Amino acid sequence: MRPESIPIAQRLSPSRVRSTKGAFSPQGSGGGGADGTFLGMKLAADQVRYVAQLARLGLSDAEMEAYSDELSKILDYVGQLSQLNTDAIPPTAQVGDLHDVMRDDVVGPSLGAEVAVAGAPDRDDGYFRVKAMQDEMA
Amino acid sequence: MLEQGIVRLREALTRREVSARELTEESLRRIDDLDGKLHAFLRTTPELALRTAGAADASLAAGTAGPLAGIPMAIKDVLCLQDVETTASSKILQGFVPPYTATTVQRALDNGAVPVGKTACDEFAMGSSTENSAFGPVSNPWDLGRVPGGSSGGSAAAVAAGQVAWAFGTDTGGSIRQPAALSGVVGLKPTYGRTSRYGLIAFASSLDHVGCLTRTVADAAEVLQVIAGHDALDSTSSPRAVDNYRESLDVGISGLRLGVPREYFIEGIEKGVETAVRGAISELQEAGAEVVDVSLPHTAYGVAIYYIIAPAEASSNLARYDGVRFGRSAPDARSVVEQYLRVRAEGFGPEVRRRIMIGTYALSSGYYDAYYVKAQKARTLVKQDFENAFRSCDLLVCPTSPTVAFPLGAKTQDPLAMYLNDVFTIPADLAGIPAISVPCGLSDGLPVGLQFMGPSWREDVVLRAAAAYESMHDWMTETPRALAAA
Repeated sequence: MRPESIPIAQRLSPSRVRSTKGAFSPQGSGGGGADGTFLGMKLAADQVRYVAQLARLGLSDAEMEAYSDELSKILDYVGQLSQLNTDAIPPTAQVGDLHDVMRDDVVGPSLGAEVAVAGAPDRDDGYFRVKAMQDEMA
Repeated sequence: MLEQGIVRLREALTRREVSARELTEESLRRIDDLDGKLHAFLRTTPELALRTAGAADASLAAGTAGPLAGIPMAIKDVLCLQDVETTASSKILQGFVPPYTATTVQRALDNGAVPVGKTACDEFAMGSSTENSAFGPVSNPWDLGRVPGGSSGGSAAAVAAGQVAWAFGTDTGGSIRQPAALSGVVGLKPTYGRTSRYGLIAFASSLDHVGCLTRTVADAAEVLQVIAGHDALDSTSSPRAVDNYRESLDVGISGLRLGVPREYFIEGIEKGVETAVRGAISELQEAGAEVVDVSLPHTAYGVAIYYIIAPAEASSNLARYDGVRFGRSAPDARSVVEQYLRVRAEGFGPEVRRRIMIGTYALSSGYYDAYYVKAQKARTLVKQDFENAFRSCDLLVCPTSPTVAFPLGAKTQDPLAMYLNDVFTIPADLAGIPAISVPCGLSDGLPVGLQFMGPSWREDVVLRAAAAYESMHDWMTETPRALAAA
């Protein structure tokens, strides 16, 4: 297959990145797993179920199945970062040049409770109304 | 006449050749005429628009008009406009009417801009084609069978089709620049912190930028001049003084050293895109720019870094959609947890759910260091690549997207293929540097975008180079092919 006829995703996929020096393939500087952890493992169905529960995301069985494959492919792709040696590199959480931004502790104008909760599906006298949580606490 | 853009329309308004009311009526008419085909707008605001236009006409008569006065604009539906439904193209926010207006939008309104409607986008700005909108895809005005790009696809299509003179967009992984490139308009993403994020429905807070889609580079400078600057309501917005962007527009290209990053011209880029971009770089060189070869060695890791950090931040930001505070609910759910599960299952579309899953996984116990911290460290390397490159050049010039607009449906079954379309735009978001896409010709009748990226806070240089390139051509007045017959 000529290079131009290979779909871009395939040329960028980790399997091809490993086997060839294809398009956009990272020139890995580290030896893989520089931080001691292997990235890009297959996500099992029970892991998908667990993550969905953490995210409070209702998923059907069919979706669980589909996500097991799809998320594994994506995790496999992002797993290429393990090729980078980042032992001496600090993490970047934000790119702005501001730190510890504070304001004076002075009360200013604000929306007010009634307006703030006006978009809530269920509200009462400036409060959100929620269902009882007791049963879930067990 | 809206395709003339902000600067020319302002001249016509000032000379009283046209009124704000007439421009607004034309905008609303053009939306009526074309939007059955384009679907760029989720909703229009004719009463608000005509009322604002009336006020603009009065301010023009009194000589007190702001720089955007009387000029119709569109607002991407991730930016809040008080008392107007704002959904982020998501079912989960259907019916949400914000009680306040985003700071950037408020600044445009304060300067007389006329809001005609909210534009469609990928749900919560997650996507590169606008096909992830819960309310249907947007068509590209150059070819109705193709995507306009995304996630600001409705804004790009509306500007390209002359439905408005300009539009707000937001850029987290390329969502202003990529649709601008694919739809043949100008798209500007400023430095992180240059424009306020207050009132922007959060996707990935360390990556979200507010900017604009316009017909010309001068128009982008006009909008930025108005919307940039510190906002006490966004603690990441910078208190730095805002430059005078208009002054840099006519300086010319001579004396600028342009770096061409070799990692942006590799196997995988469409031939027609490479030809157009290489041609543009040659023209810049002939016009007096010095062109040097530079390397951004971690470019290829950008997409992988982004698809850990952005979903991680999104999974946290989108935790607020619980059916309690706004939008959709599940009134017959028996418990609060059942309500969460159902509201989020019914309200979020497939791509949003996918990213919440990836992000939750990357942040979960046992994987946090391997994915999230690893990606944050790799983000530092991408940022350092740019810092190193800007030691040997003033600006970087490269393609905006590896492809022209692709057919609707071409990539919807393959999320990874869709993600990789952002390979050339993601790095500037990871580093927070300013970047612009300008049209640089057509490939098989479809627009190609040329991207300039500059050091942080140097929007002036980015605009200067883009304006210099633009002045050599007349792409901006071309009518999109699919509308020529309309």
